[in-house]
Amino acid sequence: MRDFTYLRTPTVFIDIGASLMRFSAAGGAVELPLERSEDGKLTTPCREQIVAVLAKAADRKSWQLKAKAVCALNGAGVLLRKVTLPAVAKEELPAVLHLQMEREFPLLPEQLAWGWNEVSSNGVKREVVLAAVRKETVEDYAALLAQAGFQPEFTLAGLARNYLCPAIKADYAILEAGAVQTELISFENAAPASLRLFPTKMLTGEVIRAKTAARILYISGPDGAASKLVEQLGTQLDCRLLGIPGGVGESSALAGLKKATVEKKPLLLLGVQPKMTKAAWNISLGAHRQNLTKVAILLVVLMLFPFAESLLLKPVVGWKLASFKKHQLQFDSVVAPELNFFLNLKQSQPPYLDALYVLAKASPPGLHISSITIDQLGDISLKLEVQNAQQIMDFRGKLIDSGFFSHVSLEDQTPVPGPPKLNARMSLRWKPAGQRPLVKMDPEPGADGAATPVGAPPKM
Amino acid sequence: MIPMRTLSDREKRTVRYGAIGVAIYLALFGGVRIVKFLNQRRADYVQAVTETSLLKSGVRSDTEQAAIVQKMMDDFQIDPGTLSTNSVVAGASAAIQKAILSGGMVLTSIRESPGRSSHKEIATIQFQGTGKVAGIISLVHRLPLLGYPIVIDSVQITADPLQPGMVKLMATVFVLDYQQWINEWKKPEASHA
Repeated sequence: MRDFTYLRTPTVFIDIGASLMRFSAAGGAVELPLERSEDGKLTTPCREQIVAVLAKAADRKSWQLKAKAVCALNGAGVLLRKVTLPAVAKEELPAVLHLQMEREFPLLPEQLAWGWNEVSSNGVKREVVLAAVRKETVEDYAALLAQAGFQPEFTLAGLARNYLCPAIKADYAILEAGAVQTELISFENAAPASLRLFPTKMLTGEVIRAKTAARILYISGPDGAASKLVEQLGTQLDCRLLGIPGGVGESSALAGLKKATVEKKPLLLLGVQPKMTKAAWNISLGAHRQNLTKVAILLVVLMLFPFAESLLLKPVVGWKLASFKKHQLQFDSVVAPELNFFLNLKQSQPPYLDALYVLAKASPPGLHISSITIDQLGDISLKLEVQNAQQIMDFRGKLIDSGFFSHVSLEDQTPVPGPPKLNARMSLRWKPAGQRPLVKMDPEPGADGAATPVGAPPKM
Repeated sequence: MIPMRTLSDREKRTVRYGAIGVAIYLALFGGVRIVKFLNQRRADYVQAVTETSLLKSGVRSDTEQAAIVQKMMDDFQIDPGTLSTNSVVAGASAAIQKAILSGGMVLTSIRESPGRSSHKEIATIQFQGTGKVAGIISLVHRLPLLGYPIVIDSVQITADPLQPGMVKLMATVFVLDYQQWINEWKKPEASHA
């Protein structure tokens, strides 16, 4: 199979925080400050700047496919739940999850961008982690990144950081200390249990203990800040530093995303789910415009094909037709009359030899044929000399039995004075072709002069 | 140049509707003509394809018939191309005499007369000969295979009382007129054409 890698652009990673967006790609990294309006959305100048910078950073050719952008969202507005579901068939799981979402979250699933990951499963129940954020938040970022030439996917930064932590059996938490806000995500049995945000200035050991039961705390954050926190909280908690490469455009979330991508680990992706009731029947024109256009083009092509065929192939068929007609003319002028002539010649040949053969085969010993006259119509006239009347009767009987003749009659039978002898005249007529049996000649007599075989001509 | 009056909305709408109507009329009128033209071309094409298909299957049977002709030419040892009207009777007569003599028979008489044109015969040849039974049977067998379109009309075989073991043969054959046959074959085609 041919590899179309030149069409693809490498995956990029984006960490979207409250006030900073970090972009990391193979070609380099960028940090963009985020300016938000009162409702929390990005301002128009900020959006324009992001689109311009990211489009430049993406460096995508117009003929290349959009690059996949794996984005990590900070914990603002994120709802995280671990729920237990009954073990259901795979096809029924979306419906069950939908119901669970309606029960667990204050907003309807249609108003959320959400995703799930399986934590554990047995034959009876299934534990999953549900994560959700307002749909508008994800859609806003998705539109922005699409404008910049990316195909975005969203996950949680806290979950991305988890990929940096070593696998341990004990419960733990990950703390990302920002300049203004701190994010704390707790893991129980290696599964996310809760996600909390609080001001960084309130960050103390007591606050952390109040928000999580985990005794192991992984700390990440900007250069220097994380190390300082480890020192500060180390006396109260088992603090461990999440080592990440420093520099512009680097963060623990980005490092986690890269590691998960390289190691092909499953990410909890947040997606906008369509309403269950409308899932199967989305027939809006806009959604299927492209497919409908293709179908319409195909139909038009199908309708026009016969006409195009007749217009394009007519000369070819005409040439073939002329060629066949020429051949037919030649045949009709040469072969056909010859064939007819030969067939007629063959049918005109009377079966003289067959008739003589049948006569010879039917003639009894001692029969003497004085004269035979045969014409083309099949009338045969015989003059015979026999020793007694019985021979004539036998001869006649055999001729009739042969099935070759339609008419066998004895015209005259006259005794000859002197020796016991009779003269007779017979007339015969063979049956028309097709009605008389096919005469099969016996083999020629052997060269050793053996006795005359049956079917030898009568004595004349 | 007189500046054009500004049209009111109603007038603009009227003009627009008129233009649309004219466009629809032209599209329908032209469309019908185009469809008719395309349908006619399609029908011609389908007819040509059907005719070609029939002729193609005919060519296959023609090939078989040509093989039959070849076999019959071999069987009768006749090449129709050599059957010229002027020489065919002479050739047939000579071939008959040669066959009689080569079969050990004695040719007593031979007579040629014009054939019946209604039966597409070019000549009738009557001959008499004397010989043994085997020679006569052989001659009867070989007559149609002499390389000429000969059909045996009648045969009379009589015992010769003066020469025991010998029989007399009196036969009438006619020679078919190949040219007449071909001409009559072509006539219906010509009239049909």
